[in-house]
Amino acid sequence: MAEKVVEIENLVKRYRELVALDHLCLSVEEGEIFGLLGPNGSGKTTAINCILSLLKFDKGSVRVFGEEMRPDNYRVKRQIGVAMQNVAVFGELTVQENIDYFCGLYIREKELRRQCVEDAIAFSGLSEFRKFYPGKLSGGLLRRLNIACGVAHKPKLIILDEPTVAVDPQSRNRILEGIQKLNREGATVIYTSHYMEEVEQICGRIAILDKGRCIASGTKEELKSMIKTGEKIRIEAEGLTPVQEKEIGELRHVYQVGYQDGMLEIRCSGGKHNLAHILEYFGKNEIGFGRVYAEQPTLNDVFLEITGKELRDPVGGQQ
Amino acid sequence: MFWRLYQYSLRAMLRKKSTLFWSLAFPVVLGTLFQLTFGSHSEEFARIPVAYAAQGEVETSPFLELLDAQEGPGGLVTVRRAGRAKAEKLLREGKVEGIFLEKENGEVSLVVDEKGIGQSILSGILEQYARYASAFARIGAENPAGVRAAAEGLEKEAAYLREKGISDRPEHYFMDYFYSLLAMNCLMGMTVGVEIAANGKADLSDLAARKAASGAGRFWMILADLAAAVTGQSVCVAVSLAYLSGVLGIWLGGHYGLILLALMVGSALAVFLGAFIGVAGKWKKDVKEGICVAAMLASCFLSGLMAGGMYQVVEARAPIVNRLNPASLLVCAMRSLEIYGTYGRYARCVAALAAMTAVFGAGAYLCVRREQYDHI
Repeated sequence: MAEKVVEIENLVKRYRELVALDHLCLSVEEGEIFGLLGPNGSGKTTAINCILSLLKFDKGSVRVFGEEMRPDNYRVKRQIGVAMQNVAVFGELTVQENIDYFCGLYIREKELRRQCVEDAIAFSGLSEFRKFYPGKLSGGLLRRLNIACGVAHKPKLIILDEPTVAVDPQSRNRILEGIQKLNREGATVIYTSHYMEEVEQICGRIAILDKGRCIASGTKEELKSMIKTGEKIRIEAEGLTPVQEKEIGELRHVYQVGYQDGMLEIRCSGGKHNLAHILEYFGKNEIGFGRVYAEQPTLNDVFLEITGKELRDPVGGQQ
Repeated sequence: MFWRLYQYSLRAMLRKKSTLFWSLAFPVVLGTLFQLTFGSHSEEFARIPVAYAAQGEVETSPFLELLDAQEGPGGLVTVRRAGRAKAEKLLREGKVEGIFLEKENGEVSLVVDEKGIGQSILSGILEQYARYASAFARIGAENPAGVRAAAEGLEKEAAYLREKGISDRPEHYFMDYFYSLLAMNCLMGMTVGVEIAANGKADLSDLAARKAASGAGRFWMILADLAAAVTGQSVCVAVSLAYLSGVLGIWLGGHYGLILLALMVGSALAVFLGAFIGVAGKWKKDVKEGICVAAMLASCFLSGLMAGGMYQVVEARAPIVNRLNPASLLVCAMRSLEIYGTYGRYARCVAALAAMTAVFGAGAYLCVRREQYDHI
């Protein structure tokens, strides 16, 4: 069994009346990419700040590498790399100087540090921009610099808090590939995001947070198996009558039917050949149809079914 | 690690345009404007124009010799010899501030048409002459052999007065502007201190939170930032001092090493005070910077940056303010070197500045030693 790198038990954090973390329990195992998924304000960043011992919490415990996390536990902190949600670099230092500064907070030996800085520059694809000041970089490059500053010292645990917010697709792909590469090289990664596609793409295990609580956790397959929806089918169909709509709802495995603006949406609870059965019904009843879509459930469906709201609903406020 | 953090912090500070403007360019520009404004006036006041008119045929006299001496280097007056009518015309036209009238019997009187510092100085010269003339007459009558020794004593006293100056010379009021300017230059460091606080307290900036999450001790990070800020601020102040004395040619009384030491202590005080304001209270950084600017302006106003002679007014009415006001303490330290030439008052001022630095440094440390926050 893999060693637990981070263990959070019954963590409670209140901002006056607002409960930001409500008895949160999580564990991150060595060598995995662990996704913290949730809408804005769900408590992801608060959880990260508690793991880093920046925030006081009201109840519970946080253990990292088997040790209780404290602000002055520099031995543990030296094994953690972090890229905060907001870019945190010196505007008056160049790309190379910034990486060297942050790397130097962990590594004293000059030659080793120099090599780490070079590796980080190459890893983040910032070689051409090493003499640039952050103010001259695009949003995507700035995010890459932020990550490079966090991982240059080659930490065992990397915490990335929404590292792809407001970046271009090219930078996003580069960042995601980079995270997977770091993981392959042995780093354990905690990745927070409200982009479910990213989390699905790179994370092995995922915890879904809402209102400070972990509402579900597991692999993406495990999470999807928790909900009723097994398949989602949408068909462009003109002139469907209420009777036909009702009859479709009575087909095998179909548990929900909706028809609006010429688009029929059907949810099936697992089973096989659902689409074939539905199209067979269309053929028998001579119902014309246009484009047909069949989708597997997403993490958004998981979130929707558990909480009754969309994952990307902007809740706002403190995270 | 400390040295590397110090280097980067200093580099970042000296690359920051706003810091360079306020700590370097602004004092240099203001110093130039002061020089353009006060430089010529200072020269005029340094030499008080006076007319000399003799009744009868007076080619030379002891008093004329005294006036000649006062026209020399370090002297106080420029003398125009004229007939009485011409001299009175010059006085009416304001071209001279007084007329020395010497009778044939050697008796000298002073004619002025208004009261002022210049007239007081002319009166002082006359009184000094009358006192010495009387003393020489008495010595000559009682002990003719002692006249030579008395003359030598007089010469020494005259030399002493010229070299050391006198504190109520008008140009000292103008000098206070330059001293206050240097004090303001130091106090600009308060905003740098606020910046350091913002970069050291995780609930004030993202950068501070990022640094707090790292594997380095906070004490050393903050100490490196403070040391770099004091160094950078001291460099800026040293450049301003060099510009004032070297380029603008303003005589700040010599003792430049001691002046620089006082300014470095003043810079340290400003940085630590700014850091204290930065970490104390829950206002936003902008508000804290505003508080620093207001405090700096008030401090410099009371030391005479905006109104010459303010230092003396405060000293007369509320001397405790001058003992506590950082800008006034800096002005006092620099003035004391120029005027008194002794180090007691200078040492007291610098010690007070250093004590305040220690107090604010300790206060700032007490505020930041907490390393976890309720809210980020």
